[in-house]
Amino acid sequence: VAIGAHPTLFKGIIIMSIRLEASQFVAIAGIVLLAVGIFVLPVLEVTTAPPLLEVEETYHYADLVGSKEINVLILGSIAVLLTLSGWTKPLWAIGLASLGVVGNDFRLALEFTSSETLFFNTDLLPGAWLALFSGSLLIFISPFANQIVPWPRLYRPLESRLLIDQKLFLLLGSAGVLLLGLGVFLPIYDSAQVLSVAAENIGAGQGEVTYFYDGEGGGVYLLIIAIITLIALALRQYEISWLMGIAALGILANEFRIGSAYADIFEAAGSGWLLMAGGMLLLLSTGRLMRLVQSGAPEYRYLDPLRPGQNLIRTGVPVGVIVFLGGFVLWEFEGLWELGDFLADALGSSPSFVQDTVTYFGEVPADALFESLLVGAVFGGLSTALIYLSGKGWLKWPRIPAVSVWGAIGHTLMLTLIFEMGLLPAIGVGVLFFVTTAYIREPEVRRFFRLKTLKPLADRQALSIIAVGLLIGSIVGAISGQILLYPTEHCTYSPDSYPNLYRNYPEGYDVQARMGLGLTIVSTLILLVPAWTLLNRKPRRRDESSSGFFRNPITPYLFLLPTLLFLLVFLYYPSVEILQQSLNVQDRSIQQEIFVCMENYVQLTDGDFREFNTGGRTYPGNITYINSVIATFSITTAIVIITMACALGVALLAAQKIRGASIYRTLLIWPYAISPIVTGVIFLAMFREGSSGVINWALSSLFDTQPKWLTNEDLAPWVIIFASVWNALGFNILFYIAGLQNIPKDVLEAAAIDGANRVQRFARITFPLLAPFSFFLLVANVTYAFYGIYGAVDVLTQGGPTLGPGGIEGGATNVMIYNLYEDAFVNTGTVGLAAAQSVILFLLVAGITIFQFASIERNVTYGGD
Amino acid sequence: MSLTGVIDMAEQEIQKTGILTRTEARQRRLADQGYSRRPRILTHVLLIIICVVVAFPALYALQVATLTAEESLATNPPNLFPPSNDLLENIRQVFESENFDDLLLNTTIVTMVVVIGKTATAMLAGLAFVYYRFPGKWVLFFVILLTLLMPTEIILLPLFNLVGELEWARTNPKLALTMPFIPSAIGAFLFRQHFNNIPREMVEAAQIDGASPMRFMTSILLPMSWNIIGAMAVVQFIYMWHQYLWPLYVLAGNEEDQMIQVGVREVGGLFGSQQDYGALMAAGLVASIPPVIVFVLLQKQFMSGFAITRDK
Repeated sequence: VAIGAHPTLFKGIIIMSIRLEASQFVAIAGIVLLAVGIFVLPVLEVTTAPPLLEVEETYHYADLVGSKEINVLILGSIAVLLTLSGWTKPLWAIGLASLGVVGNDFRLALEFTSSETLFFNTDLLPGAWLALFSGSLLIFISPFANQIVPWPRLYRPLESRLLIDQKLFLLLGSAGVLLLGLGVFLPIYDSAQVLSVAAENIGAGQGEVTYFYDGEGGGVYLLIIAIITLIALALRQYEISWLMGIAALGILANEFRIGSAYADIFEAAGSGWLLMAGGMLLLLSTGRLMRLVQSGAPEYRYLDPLRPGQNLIRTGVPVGVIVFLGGFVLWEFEGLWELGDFLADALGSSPSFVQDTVTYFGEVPADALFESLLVGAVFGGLSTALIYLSGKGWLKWPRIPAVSVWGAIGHTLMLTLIFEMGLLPAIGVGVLFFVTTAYIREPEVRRFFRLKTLKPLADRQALSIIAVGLLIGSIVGAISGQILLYPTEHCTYSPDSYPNLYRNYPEGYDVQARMGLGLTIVSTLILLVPAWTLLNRKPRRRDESSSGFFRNPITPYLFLLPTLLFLLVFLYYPSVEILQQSLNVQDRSIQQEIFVCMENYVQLTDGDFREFNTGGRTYPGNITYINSVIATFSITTAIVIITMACALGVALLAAQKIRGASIYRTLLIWPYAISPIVTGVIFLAMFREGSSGVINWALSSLFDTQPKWLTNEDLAPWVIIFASVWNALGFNILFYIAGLQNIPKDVLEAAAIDGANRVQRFARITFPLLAPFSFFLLVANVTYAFYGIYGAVDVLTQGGPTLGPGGIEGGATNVMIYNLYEDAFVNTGTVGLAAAQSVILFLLVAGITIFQFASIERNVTYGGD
Repeated sequence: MSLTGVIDMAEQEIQKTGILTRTEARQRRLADQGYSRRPRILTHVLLIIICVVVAFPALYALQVATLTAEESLATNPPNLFPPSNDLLENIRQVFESENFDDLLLNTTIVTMVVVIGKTATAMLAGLAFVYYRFPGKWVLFFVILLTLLMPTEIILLPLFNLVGELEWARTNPKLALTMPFIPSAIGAFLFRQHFNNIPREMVEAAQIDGASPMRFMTSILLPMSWNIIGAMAVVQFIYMWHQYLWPLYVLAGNEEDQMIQVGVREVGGLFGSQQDYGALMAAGLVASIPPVIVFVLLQKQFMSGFAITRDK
């Protein structure tokens, strides 16, 4: 009756089994074996095994040490996914990985059984191991089964449509995800009870406690599953949510098994279990429902299975060779799994992070929160309204003359660096210069400030745009402003909470408050910039034809995964970390980090902070850093100008069509491949003092002088500059030659006909046409001079020669990057200062990079459609 | 990526100035007058002088490398001719007492892993961005774009802590040396740009033949991308070969797994009182030979990889 009631289900199963390939059958057998090996056999065998040792913290059976079987489970889930989608080709890799995991576990189990440790039962469970090995092996060979048994595919999918409204799937799936998520997160709230039990347990000496729920960190995998399901639902790939239900089942079962084994130690967080089970069932049901629908109307089109093993020899041999060679090196990279654990930990701590964040924003002083929200909202609202207006064509910004920009920057720098005016007044003068010159020089600017420009803004449409811009901008700005203020704990807005920072220097609080404003503005940009881009996005031609694109909902994410993962772990995470470190000071006496708000920044930038008196003279406390900044800028300027001038001159000669041009080119550019260290070592030998260095030997025999190249504070920077120029010259020459060869000959010839001499031709044609190359090289050289010279400085001068009595003013070649690394890795107790320097350097270089990007913006199209 | 844009701009400029062109007859007349004949000898002489000046530091290093410790510290004049013959002795000393053989092997492995890892991840990212449509593409692109602002050089401090936290610094030095340098926004952009310039018909044809994305990548995209892979490989090879500060501090005290630049620093008592410049220069020579060879051999790739848009 049951089958009769569901004729479609029965038909569906038959159709399913007909359309399976031989490889899919083999893979399914392997997967079943794996499941049996993990879930069934150990339990059976343990119950029939001899009694276990009664020792605390004992695993109930020794073979599957730790939670390694979770890896097999994940691999098994992937295998299920691949098998059912019909894309069986990569299954061999999954099988191989599974073999590796099982093999490794087996090795561990053998180690434990052979060692006389008391902590583990010393019996092997042969059945489970056999099942795991043979299951992995079956999955491994499954792709090749098609070659042996060319199974006919009787079934051809038909074009059809879904009978039931998709909303039902969506509802079921998202309800399932919700329950799963609740199940993982909710136990926090009844953790109080669990914790009390746990505390008792610890008091009774019964080991450590996981207070989430019973399993050991399987919650992480459930969270991953929930995320994948959400993505799948958004993509309307309901089959995935079903598969995720299966995966959740596996994980829950395993966790429950472990949980019940520990039941005497841990208290179950009941609500969590119930919710998770419910979520899993809902996820399962989406797929079940779909299957019913499909068996009646098979809309479902599986990925076209590729014939596996087609080019086994052609691709297999090179891959085999690479794998074989890799085997010699690979063991050194074994610790990569630590990264997985690290990520799992990070993901596992996300519930407590959410809780911390909520608690923090509940406790932050109300006026500090209000002020920061206001700053973010005002800045966000105004800027967004303006940008939205200009994006919609209501506001046309006037062209700003370059003279005003450069003049303003020049004035500001000159006033601060040479005349030692404070930074704020200097910026004020710069802005004044900018406004007046722009107003005088550019009629467009004058026109912009007339009433006529502003008139259309009273239009109703424009007003609505302004309103929308203000609304969205203020909301986004207020929220985004909190992002960077969270790690600073709003300290710049609530000085009262940190009364011990500037005991003898109350102005410090003002400086810090100003920095806090800047930080809030930078923080608002994090979300505002994407918001602006979204608002002003041009209506995209929605090209619905899918030709030229692969269609698969998952693979693009898989392809992006490695890049994103590495960027996240090795760039985003450290960048956040360095911000955090810059707000701390290492207390040497108690070996601890103390939160000091922006004190590190104040110390670096505000000379009046903590000034000191030596030899009857008062020095600002940051004199070393100021000198370091000056040294960096002067050395950078010299390197950039000399390198580019020399490179252009040489390139003009070498770009000519002469015999042996490529030989000359090679002979000119090779120093680029010499490292800064070796360059430093060579120049050290050349410029060393005494008379054994070749430079001083030559100078003393010709002019009878022996300059102290490395210990004279005026000469030492030049040695660094010479070394760096020699190092960077090749790269510059290479690009200038390419640029020169790009210039059309007929233009130059035509100019020659018109009577332009060689100098005129260069100044009017060659040089302007080279501008893009010059600009690229300018940025590259500045970056090199900021970072790349560390090696040369370290070898040649170690930041010296020292300035001031006893070296209190720093060193003549103590460039920012050198000072930073000295503070970070060599000096003690300066980690916080080093972190603050990193952030300052970061802002400088980010400025350069944004500048570079803005100038080639049109080449960066987002999305790439 | 920036340079491809640069070249585009240059071409535009060139088109703008196209008005300057004159009739062919006048050009030919000019050519007959010998306009394009420059004083070749002068150019050759100048270039040779410049090449010698550029090579001078290295030549001097070579000369010093042939000296014993005492000779290298001896006062004027440096005996250029006849050169001493301690070069092999110095090199042998570098290999024996400073185990340069280990360092060379380590550096090679580290460099190769980074070059391959970087190229592979960047290529996959490019493939996803160009040949797929998926929700969130724009956001992910922005996430990658943003990392251009975060150079690895200034986050070494937290990276140092991170690597310590993962216990790589002590137990897996190769991972500590390579993994922080794997992510590459620039690489992803280079490949994206390059793939965008490949005609769409390629994909369509591949799809009709039933090729999977991986198949499409290995048998169509890969052969078309050797130039750009070469360019990336050279830059990354040199960048990684020159790594100094990171290995110096991460592997402090671990001399077996160090990299070559740190090895050079240790030779000849550079920071001590008794310096042996002969051995130091020999070490510098040994450390410089691989990158120079790679750079000189792949310089064409290096340029054409950057100029990729011109092929379109």
